[in-house]
Amino acid sequence: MIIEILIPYEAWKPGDLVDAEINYANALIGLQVARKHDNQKRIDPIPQKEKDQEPQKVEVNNFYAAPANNKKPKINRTLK
Amino acid sequence: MATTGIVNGTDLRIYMSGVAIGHATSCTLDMTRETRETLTKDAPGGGWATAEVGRKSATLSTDGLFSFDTTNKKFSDMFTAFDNGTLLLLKFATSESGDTYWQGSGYITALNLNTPVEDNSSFSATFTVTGAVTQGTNS
Repeated sequence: MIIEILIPYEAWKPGDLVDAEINYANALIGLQVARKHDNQKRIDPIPQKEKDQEPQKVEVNNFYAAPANNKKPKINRTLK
Repeated sequence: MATTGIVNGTDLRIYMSGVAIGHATSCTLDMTRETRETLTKDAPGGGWATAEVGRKSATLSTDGLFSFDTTNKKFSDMFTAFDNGTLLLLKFATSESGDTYWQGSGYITALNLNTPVEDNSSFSATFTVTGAVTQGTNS
């Protein structure tokens, strides 16, 4: 039974939702430590893997990665 | 209201000292009964093995995803019980009135925490029951 903790009890604080065994839950309700929660569906949120962020485009001024310059270098030759 | 039809495994949980084990992904109740072979030369059994019932034993085991902040039983709670050798009340049950449950007392005899890179951390625990497993009905 899903119960909502009303007062601090053991390691729980008010507002915590706990899936307790039915007799134990009724005992805690009887002690007014907890109340039956309206939503009896499972409460543990499944840990989600963090969504990968889009990789940011990084511009690098890399001489070696730059496209090859096919133009021949202009050489000044002086013929004797 | 009692559960009808094929029971969804999600609905059956291990309750440790009254509280479900948080983020469990599977729970198993294993019960075995050993036999004592009684084949003798005086009672050869027509060539067939003969036996009488021997001792019974049971274990409960669970796997789950690891979380620090579940409000149900955490890995740290199980570690404390494991470390202290605490005798735990264990119940394998749904939370529906009228459903059958199985319960017993036991110790945590194996505890495992697995934390792979870039994947969910997970745990597993084995509870060895001492004494009888009893069957009852949720009130």
